[in-house]
Amino acid sequence: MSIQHEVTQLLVQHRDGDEGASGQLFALVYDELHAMAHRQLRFRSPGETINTTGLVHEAYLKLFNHNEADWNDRVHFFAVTARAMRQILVDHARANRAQKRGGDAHRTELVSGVLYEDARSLDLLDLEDALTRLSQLNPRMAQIVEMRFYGGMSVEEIAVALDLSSRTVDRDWFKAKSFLYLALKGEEES
Amino acid sequence: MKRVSTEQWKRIDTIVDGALDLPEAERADFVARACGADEALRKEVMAMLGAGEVAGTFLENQQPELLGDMRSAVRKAAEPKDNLIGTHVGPYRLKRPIGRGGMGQVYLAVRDDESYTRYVAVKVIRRGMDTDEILNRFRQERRILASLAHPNIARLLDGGATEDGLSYFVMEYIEGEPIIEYCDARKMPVRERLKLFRKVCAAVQFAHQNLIVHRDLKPSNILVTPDGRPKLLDFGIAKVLNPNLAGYTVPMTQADMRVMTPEYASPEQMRGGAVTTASDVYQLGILLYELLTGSRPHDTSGRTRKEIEDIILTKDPERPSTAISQVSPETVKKRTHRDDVNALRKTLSGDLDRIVLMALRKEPDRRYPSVDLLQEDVRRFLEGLPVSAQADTLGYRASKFVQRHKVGVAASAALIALMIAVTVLAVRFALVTGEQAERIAMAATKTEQVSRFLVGTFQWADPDLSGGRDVTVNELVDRAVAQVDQELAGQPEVHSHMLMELGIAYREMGNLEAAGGLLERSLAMRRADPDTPPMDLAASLFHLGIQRDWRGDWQEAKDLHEEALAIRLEEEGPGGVEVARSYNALTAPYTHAGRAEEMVPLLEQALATVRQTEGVRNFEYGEFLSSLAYIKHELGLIQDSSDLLAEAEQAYRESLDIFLDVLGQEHPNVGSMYTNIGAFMQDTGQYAEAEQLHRMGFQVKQKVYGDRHTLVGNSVSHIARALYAQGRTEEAESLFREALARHLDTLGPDHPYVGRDRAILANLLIDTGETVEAERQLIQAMEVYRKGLPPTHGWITQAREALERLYAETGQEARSGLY
Repeated sequence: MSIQHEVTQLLVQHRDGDEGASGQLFALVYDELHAMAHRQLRFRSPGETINTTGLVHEAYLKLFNHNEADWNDRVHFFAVTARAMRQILVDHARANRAQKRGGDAHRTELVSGVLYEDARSLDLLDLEDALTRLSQLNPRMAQIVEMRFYGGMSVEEIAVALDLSSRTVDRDWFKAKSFLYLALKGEEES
Repeated sequence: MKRVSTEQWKRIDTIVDGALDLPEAERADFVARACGADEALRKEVMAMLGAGEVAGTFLENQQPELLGDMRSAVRKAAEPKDNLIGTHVGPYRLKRPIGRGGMGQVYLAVRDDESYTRYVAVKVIRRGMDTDEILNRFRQERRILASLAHPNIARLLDGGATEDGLSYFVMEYIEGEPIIEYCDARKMPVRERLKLFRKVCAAVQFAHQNLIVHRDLKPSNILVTPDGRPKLLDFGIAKVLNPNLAGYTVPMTQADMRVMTPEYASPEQMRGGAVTTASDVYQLGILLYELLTGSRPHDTSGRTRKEIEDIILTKDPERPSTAISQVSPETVKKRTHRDDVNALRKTLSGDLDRIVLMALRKEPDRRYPSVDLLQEDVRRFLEGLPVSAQADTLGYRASKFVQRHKVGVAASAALIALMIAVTVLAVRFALVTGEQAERIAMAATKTEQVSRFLVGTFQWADPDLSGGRDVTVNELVDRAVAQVDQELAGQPEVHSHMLMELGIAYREMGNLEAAGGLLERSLAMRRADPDTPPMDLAASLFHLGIQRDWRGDWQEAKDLHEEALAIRLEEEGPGGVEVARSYNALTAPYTHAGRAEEMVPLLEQALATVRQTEGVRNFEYGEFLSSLAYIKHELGLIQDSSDLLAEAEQAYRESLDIFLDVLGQEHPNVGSMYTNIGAFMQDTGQYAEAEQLHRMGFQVKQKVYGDRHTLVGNSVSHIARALYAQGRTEEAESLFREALARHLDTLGPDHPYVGRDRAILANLLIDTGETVEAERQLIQAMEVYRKGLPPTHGWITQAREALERLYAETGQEARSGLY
């Protein structure tokens, strides 16, 4: 069975209410994304942003069969991919294994990886803490952040996925951003 | 925001919602009423509302494009496969075909999901091209292409893949006709054509300044609007479609037979060599040829591909004035829409012939160094001024020695300039001190010695005097050292000065060991002599400091530079030029000591000093600016600040621009700037771009330094990293090994770079399962690091992490005492 076909099957089972299918789908997407990210992250410093959009897109092209699945499947697929992406980034930050880059020291040719603070990973983990707190207060908002920030989904897509109006998604996104912003700012100040 | 309970949150959430439903002006009152006496609650709510405003793009700017490509793919799920007219590509509906190129079909399209109608051109790449690869490269390029905003360049708006796997690009739609047709239809005279050509050049130059090479400049890619503005199409697309070599065009011929006709290919594109800005200069040369003569420099019609290759690689084109003489006047009239062929020949003959042929030279490095210089020559022609283009042989042979030994000659030239400056200063100083007789005698002696020395050195460089051997600059300096020691013994002031200058010459040639010896001797002599002018002592400290920096002894470099700086501050005050140089020199030592942040104000002061005395278009301003760019780059990464990164990129580009302007393409600093910007691209995930820049850096450095130079090794290492990041593991491994070998050769086994080469290679080896060698390399790297770097240095952390990963993957016990 091709991997695309497997994904389609799982999406169908999920739609039919099979709880286990979601878990399997997550595991499958996670593995695939992880393999892709592994390559991309090999030579990145902790300070670098990760091309999540590119990865999600790549996963979509690789895993998703456009002919067999419908709009709802797509949206669900994105939602799962967003969750997997979040997990991968957090795992990655925790493992703190990113390679730093480095290079030349010339009077003008100075590029090097000589600063060793792991600021970006800390940020990502702070965000994860704040997001976990938000999900305790308001799970839906946290889910919207996950879909938008980690999955790159648009407001319209999220609205379809969660069966909400676009306006509600917009409003929740605004509030969630405010919450996270204040939370991270507080982290910085304390 | 404090940790709030679910109860509190619900109250906050409700009041925030209520407030958001109101106009902004009424919110504060509403919140105050809703919260009543609960001041803490009011504060939380107001903080939420305020945060929403300031948070702005928070969490959003890290996802610049979101899933534009994917969404457009989703939208057009059920689309007929082949006839694309009437279908959607992204949000664009294809209306009708407007052109056909080798790579695919171009459509006029309209964006109809907006309230206004917007026309665009959509280029759909034909089947058979690797969509995934194209998209990958497009993603890497899109930011830089999107930033290419110029009135004469058609904007690239978007790109992506259709649901059934065709990639496409969306461009600004230009109403106009191809440049040749435009000129011919209006029977434009030569001067008007040249003016139009200059506008085209300006647009290409702008792209080059943004490090974008077109690679496929041809008349059909240059449209002229009805009001006479040229617009360049397809910038950067050739590279996205085929990054390796052939940017040349593949037109379709009748009977659906695809014949590779590289009519506009440059020789280096033919050979599969590096495609640089010089290729665009060449293609502009073809364009100018065609604009002036009505024909292309090489007649390729009816020939086989092999024949065309031979022609492009070996045959020199006819002079334009000759080309129009070789066909009948009728043909010329038809081609050029000119009645008076003789007058045309006269116009072309001379300067225009030379300009065109200089742009069309086979060797990229013998063409105009930049498009700007090409258009400058056209301007000079238009204004009746002498042009810079030279016939092939003139000035060519004479400058051969300089080309071969660029660094050495530059150092010698600097040497002469410095000598003269020193002498002049000595005389001036003598005039104000009152000890005139003594000082002037001293200065005269100095001058005489200096000039005798220089004359001797250069005589020796004459092949006739050295028995016809090709004297290397290294030999020249070796010889000079012997002379200095022999003839200047007993005159410490002159002797120490010469030793320092020769040490600098060695250093610039990459012979760090010899440089160190001479610079140490110079410093020792100056320290020992109580009469040494303080600024001279500072100069010796400074130059030895740079040698230590390059050798990787950053601690020692820091101490030397700080001592020099203290003297210079004392003598010159904070706004002094030498003080500025010292600030700049501290960049690497401070960064390696974890003190990068302190450098920002120092470098800003240095820049202000130069700006005041020399303006901004000069070497030192460029150099200091590139240091500042580097610091911001480094700080931007660890602080995850897109602002700092943007500032860094801007400063890098500005500094490259200055270097290209004042130094030309072949200069050590230009090579280093390619390396810096390449590293920036690598760090921001633009690997293909990084690879290209590092290859350019490699070329320039190899040319100016020769093959055995540390900085050439650095470029090899950078190229390898860019390849590795692109998943090209095998190529990467072989280049990692090459970089290691080169650094071992030029730096010896104990330099931190060698450790770094080993550590990076080891990472790759872990991936490919070669864990035994990986472990050996990492252990060796650690040993090198422990000798030369502070224990908290980033490279040590990375090597340690690699070892942990290695042991995690092999399940081995970590060797004790390693980390």
